[in-house]
Amino acid sequence: MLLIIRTAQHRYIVRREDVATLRAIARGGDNSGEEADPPVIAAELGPLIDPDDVSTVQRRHALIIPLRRRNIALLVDAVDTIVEHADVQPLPQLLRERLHEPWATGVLLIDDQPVVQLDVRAIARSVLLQRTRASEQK
Amino acid sequence: MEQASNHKIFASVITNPQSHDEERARVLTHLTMVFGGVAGVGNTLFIVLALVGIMPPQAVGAAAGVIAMVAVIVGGTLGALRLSTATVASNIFLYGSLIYVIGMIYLGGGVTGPAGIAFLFPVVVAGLFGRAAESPRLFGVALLAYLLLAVAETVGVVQPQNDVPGLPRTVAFVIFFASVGGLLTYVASLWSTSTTRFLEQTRAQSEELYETNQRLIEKNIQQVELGSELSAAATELLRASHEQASGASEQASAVSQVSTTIEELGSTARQIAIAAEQVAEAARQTLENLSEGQEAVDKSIQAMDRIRSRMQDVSARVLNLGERSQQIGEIIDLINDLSDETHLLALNAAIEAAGAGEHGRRFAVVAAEVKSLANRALVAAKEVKGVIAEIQQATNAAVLAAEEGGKEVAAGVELAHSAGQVMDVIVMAAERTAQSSAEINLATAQQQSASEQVVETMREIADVARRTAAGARQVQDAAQRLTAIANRLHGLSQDGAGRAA
Repeated sequence: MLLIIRTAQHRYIVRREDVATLRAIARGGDNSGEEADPPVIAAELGPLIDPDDVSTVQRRHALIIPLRRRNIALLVDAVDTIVEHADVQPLPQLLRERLHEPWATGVLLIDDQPVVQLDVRAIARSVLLQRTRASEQK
Repeated sequence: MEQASNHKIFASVITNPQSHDEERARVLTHLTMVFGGVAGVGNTLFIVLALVGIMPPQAVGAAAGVIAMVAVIVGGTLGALRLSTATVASNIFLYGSLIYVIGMIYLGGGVTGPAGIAFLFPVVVAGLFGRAAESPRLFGVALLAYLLLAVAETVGVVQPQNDVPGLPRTVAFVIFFASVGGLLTYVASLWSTSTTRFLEQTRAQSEELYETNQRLIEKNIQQVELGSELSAAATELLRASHEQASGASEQASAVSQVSTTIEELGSTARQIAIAAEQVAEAARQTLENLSEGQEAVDKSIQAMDRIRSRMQDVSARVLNLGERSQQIGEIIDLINDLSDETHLLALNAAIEAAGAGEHGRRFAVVAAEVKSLANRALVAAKEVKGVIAEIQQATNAAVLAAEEGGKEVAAGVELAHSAGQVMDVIVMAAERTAQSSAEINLATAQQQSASEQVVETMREIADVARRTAAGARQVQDAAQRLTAIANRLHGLSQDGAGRAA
């Protein structure tokens, strides 16, 4: 089962199993801080993949990915549809070896348009790692 | 003195054939008186001599008869002089004296007696009186009477009286001679004196005539000079009359031109008056229209005020509507959030249902339905939001339009006020125009009246100029005639002066 997510400029698909739950979060809202239980670390998904993919929508949908004692909230514009029994084509080995981050795992044609499947758990781990390093540098 | 006066009168009678009858009467009166006196004295002497015996006694009666005859002649002559003319009196005197002479011859001894010479007295007196035909006629009559008397004595029809030879005859002869001689001497004296007087008068008249002629020559010379001066003056007068006639004609022409100009000016004044009347009428109509326009402006200002009020009301309502639309938008946002939440809940429910396996299949169906409803709600919310956005956009536009309309209305009100002020200014200008038109009308009327008076005056001046021109022509004619008269006078004076010289 796949979720279709939409950022400012792109559409992606993620595996349902990688997402614990979905939330609606206002930009700068109270439920996106470290005070939540467990703490939630929020990060915009679009700029992580494409620096130009910056959204201005106030209301954000958060993909909550639980990682040990923390939840990583990857913020997107919308989560629309659950696609079942989709035939996701895995990335070729040649292309996968040359990715800077191993976040893309396959491609699915939706309405004859190729949509990349993301490994949001890997993205969440990268986010957590960056935040940890950043806090350690402070 | 009286004799000198008589001589002077007699001389005047003699020298002046045109002497007055009164002067003749005076001379004849004196002559008759002398004649009566001499005859009376002579016959009285006869009577005295007869009484003393020198003359025969019958001589007394004859002398008395002669005295009576003389008295008749003298009385008849003087009576004729008083009652009739001098000619009749002189005839009575002359022919009476002739009869007296015949009687004297008869009483004085007949034709051979001394009285015959008495015939010379009337003949000489007739000649001296200047009656050339009377003297021969008297002489003829005397001669005829003498012949008849001689014949009568010869045949014995008549016997001469007092023919007494000797002393009586001699005395009678002396008396007759003295009487006739005295009368003739008196007449001769008169004649001599008159002739001398005549010559003196002739010389005096000649001298007077000479002096008169000299004065006439001087006057002729003066007339020649005056004629020359008169000719020069007449020439000058002719030239002046020419100039006057020419000036009068030019004046008449100028007056005519001025009259024409004044008439044109009067016509122009009338046209101006008509135009001023039209302007005044237009000003009155403008005032009426302006009053209507002012009312319209006032109404438009009031309407603008109402429109502004309505626009403010509309603007407030639109703003209210915008606020309500904003509230609706907020509600829609809330609905959108709820739908989004519902959508996410449905997704989460679907995720959970998928995790539940076969047991969660029905729940997954419900979740799908819920998600579908949420999606529909989202779509509807989006549509409503789009509508609300359009409404808000339209509302904002309406608000802006209302604000712009308000500004326009305010500007319109301001313009209407300005128009009202302009209308007031126009009304004042129109009133001033009407007043000025009335003043122009009055001024042009006065100008027209003055022009008519000037035209009338110029006509009178033109008439005077024409009369002056006519007078100048008359003066010109008179000057020409005067020139001709002067020339003639000049010629006559020269001729007269030449003859006098």
